[in-house]
Amino acid sequence: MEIHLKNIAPSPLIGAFSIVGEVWEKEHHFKPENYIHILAPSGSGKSTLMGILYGMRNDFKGELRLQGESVLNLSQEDWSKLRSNQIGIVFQDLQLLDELTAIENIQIKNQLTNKYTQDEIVKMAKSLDVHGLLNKKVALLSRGEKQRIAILRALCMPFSWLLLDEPFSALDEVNTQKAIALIKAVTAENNAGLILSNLYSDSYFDYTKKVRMA
Amino acid sequence: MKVNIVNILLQGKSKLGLLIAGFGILLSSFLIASVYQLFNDVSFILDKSEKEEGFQYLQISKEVGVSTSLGLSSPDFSVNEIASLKKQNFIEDVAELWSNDFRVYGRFAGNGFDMFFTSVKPDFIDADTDDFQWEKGQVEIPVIISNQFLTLLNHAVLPSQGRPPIPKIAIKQATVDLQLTKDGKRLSYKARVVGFSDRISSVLVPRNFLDYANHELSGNTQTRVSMVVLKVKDSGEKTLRRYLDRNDYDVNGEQLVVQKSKTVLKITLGVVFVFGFVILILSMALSLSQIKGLIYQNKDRIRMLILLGYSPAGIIKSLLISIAKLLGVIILLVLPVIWIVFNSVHALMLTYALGFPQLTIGVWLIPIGISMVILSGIFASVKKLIK
Repeated sequence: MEIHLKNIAPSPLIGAFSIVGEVWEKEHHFKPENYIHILAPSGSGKSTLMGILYGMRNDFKGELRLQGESVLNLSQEDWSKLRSNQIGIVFQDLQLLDELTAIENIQIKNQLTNKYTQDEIVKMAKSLDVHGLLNKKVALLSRGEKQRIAILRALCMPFSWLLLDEPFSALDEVNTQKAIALIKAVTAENNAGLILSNLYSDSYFDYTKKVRMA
Repeated sequence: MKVNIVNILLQGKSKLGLLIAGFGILLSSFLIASVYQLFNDVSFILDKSEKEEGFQYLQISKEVGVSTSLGLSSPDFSVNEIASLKKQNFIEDVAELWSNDFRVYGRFAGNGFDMFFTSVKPDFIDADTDDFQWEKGQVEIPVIISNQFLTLLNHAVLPSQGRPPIPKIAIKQATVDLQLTKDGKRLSYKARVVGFSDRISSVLVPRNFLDYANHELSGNTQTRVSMVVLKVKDSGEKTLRRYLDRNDYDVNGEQLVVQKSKTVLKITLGVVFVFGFVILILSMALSLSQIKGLIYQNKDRIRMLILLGYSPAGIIKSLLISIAKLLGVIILLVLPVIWIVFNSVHALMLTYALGFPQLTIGVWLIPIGISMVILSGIFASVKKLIK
C-alpha cells in the first residue's frame, strides 16, 4: 500500500507561524516496504503526522492518499478495516487499558484477525523479556514494560505499514535492540514498511528515507 | 483466550442499576403477560354464556309478594306479559321456561328428593342437545342440569356428608328413578343427565315430554310459564334494569353477581396492567439510561477500541448481543414461571368446575415483544451515541 502525502499541513498550524521542514506542505511517496525515519524535535508535529496517517485526525489541508484513495473518501468502517489489517501503530502514549492484564491488552488486538496463537504471542513476549508479566495488570507495570507490551500488541495483526511514535523512549539499549530485532522480523514476515518518528537521528533500522520535520 | 469487549466496558462499573432494570423488565413482563392471560381466563369463566355474538342471557321470574302468597296475583307470566317483553327494543329474544304441573319425586342411591322440571326452546340451550330427545313410550328422560347445581353438589352437599365429589362423566352414567304424581295419578320414569348448562338455572327436560306429562297428570293443555329467559346485548343497560324493576321482575341473583364480579375483576386487572406498564416504562428508561451512562463512562475505552480496529458497528453488535442474552435469560425465567403459575391456576379452576382455559399465544409473545422493543430502543440510542 503506497502512502502519498501532497501539501499536507495541519489546520491549527496554518497561518500560526511559517511552516518549515520537509514534511508539511511537501510531497512524499512512501512506497511499500519502505523504512521511513521522521526526525522531529519536540513540538514539531510528529504525533500530529502519525494521527493523520492513522486516521485519528482530519483537521488538515492538502491531500493524503492510501493506495491511490483519498482518505477523505474513507468511512469509519473503512478505517476500522485498515487499522485491523493494514496499519499497525505504537502510540506515543501507548493507549493500553490499565485495568486489563498485559495478555488481555494484546489479545484485544490479536482477536480481530487471530493472527497469532497464544503460544506464539508468549514466544514473542519471551523475546522481549515480558512473558512473565503477561498475566499482570498493566497498571502494575513500569513504563518500559508497558512500552514493550504496546509493541507486541501492534505486531499482532497483518499489516503493510507499521507506525512507531517514539517507540523505544522508555527502553534501555538492550531492550531496544531486542524490540528492534522483533519488529524487523515481523515486518519482514508481513512484507511491510514502517514509519518511525523520533526526537533524534538513529540507526535502529536500515531506513530508505529520512525526513526532517524542522 | 477471548477478551469480551462488553466485559471491558463493564469493568469497574456498578452493575446494580442494570440488575434493577433487568428485574423490573422481568417483573413487568410477568405482570403484563399474566394480566393478559387473566383477562382471557375471566372471559372464559364469565362469558361462557355469552358465546353467541356477545349476547347475554338473563333468567327472570316475577317477584313473589304478599298478593302472590294470598293467591291474588299469579307468579306465572301471562301471554300479554311475554308479548310486552318481546316488544322491548333492548331485548333481542325471549324464551319461556315452561314448568311442570305435578309433583316430581326422585330417588337416587337410596335418597329421595323433590324435583321440578322446566323446558325451553332449543336455541336457548347452551349444551349439546343431540341426546336431548324424547319420544312417547320412552322410559328414560334426558335432562340438562345447571352447572351451578353440580358445583353445589360437589362443593357443598357431598363434602358435608363426607362423600367425594362426582365428576360430570359419572353423573352422566347414573339414572334417577322418578315418580310423577298428581291427584292419585302416577307415572314412573328414569332420568339421565345428558348435559350441563351455564345459562339456565333449572332442570331442563324436552318440551314434548313436559307437555305430555302435564296433560296426562293435570289434564292441562296449556303449560304454565314460571320463568323467562331474556337474550340481551347488555345485561347492565339502564333502560333494561329500569324496565325489570318497574315490572317487579327478579333477575337470577347469580347473573347479577357475575356481571358485578366481571366489572370488579376487569377493573382490578386493569389496575394491575397499568401497574405493570408503569414498571415496564420505568425499567425501560432505567435500562436506557444505564446503557447511555455506560457508554459515556467508557468514552475513552470505546475510542481506544475503535483506534485498535474495532468498528463502531462491531462494538454496537457486541453490546446488543450481551443485552439480548440478558433479555433471553429474562424470557427464559418468565415463561416457565407463567406456565407453572397458570397451569396451577387452571388446575384449581378445574376442581371448582370452572373449566380449563388454555394458555394463550399472547402470553408467550408479550415478554418476547417487550424484549424486542427494549432491544430496538437500546439499538437506536447506542447507535446515535457511538457514531
